[in-house]
Amino acid sequence: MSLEQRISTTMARAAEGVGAAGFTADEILHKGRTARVRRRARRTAAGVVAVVLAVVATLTATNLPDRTSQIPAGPTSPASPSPTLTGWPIPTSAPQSGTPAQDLGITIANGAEITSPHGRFTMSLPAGTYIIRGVHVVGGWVVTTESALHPQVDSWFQPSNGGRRSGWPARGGRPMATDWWWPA
Amino acid sequence: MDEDALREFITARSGALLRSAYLLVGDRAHAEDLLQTALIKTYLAWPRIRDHGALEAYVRRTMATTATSWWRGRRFRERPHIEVPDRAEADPVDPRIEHDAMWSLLRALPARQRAVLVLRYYEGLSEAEIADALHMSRGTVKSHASRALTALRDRLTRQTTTDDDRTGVRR
Repeated sequence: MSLEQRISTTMARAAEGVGAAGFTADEILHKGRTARVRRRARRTAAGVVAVVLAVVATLTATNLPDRTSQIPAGPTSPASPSPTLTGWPIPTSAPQSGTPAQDLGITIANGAEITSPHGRFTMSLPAGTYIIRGVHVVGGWVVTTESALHPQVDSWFQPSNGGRRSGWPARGGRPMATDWWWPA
Repeated sequence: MDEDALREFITARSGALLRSAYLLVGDRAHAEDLLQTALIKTYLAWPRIRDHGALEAYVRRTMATTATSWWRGRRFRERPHIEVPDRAEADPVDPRIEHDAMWSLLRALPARQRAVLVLRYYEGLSEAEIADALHMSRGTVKSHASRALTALRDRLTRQTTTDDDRTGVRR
């Protein structure tokens, strides 16, 4: 007898004594239904988790801190002043006279004018830059500005004779100066 | 879902399928587990099975792949008998002992090799059908079958030599 025949015979004989299955068709169907319900529940749970993760990711992406978006960009009309200007130490208002904002090259017109007990002036600022603080010094004003496009704070000396502004030493974003004035 | 058709199939064919399962795993309890698992998988796949005439082939294929995956995951671990149990005074030509010896050798084969032999010599499938059932190439089927047969021949030869030595037969 060849090896293949022996294998075949051995398997047939081994299988003879196995007997009948110890379960019924209905038991299998019942287990199948249970497995199907479990599988659906698992898939549903996975779907819910995926949706929750997607929502969280979307909310996170849309609410990332955008520092430039918190600063108003573009011209603001007197009727609708930028709310971020409210409460600043220097009263800012739309220029009533003097050089138009466009000619000054600034995008926030009312942020370029300073009114103080020492007088009023309109400062020429780089585009997208506005005044956040000012101090009167001998011969002019020291002004702190912030850029709407970049979170950068600069200090300038603006001569009271209307001459060209120049940089002013600052430390920690604040100008090194005394004699701060505040609006009444 | 037409459960009646599946119920009829299980009722009619579970005995034959259990025998195949037994040959695949070599243990009655594991065979029943294997068959139940394969039938439940079939139930879940039932809506996707287009050819209900090929249902038995599907179940057998599922049993073979599940048995090999169990073996890989060591879900069950039978103790292979490389050496056939001692048969001391037994008649070497006793067919029952011959059968037991051969069965022990078959059970000692790796799961994939045994699956190939079961499908080839018990189910009577062709190499192409086995390749399809076990999701492997025909070359791999041939390789598994060849290795299994070589291993069986080697072990049988070794046993025969041992038996001859024991009974004092000169070569």
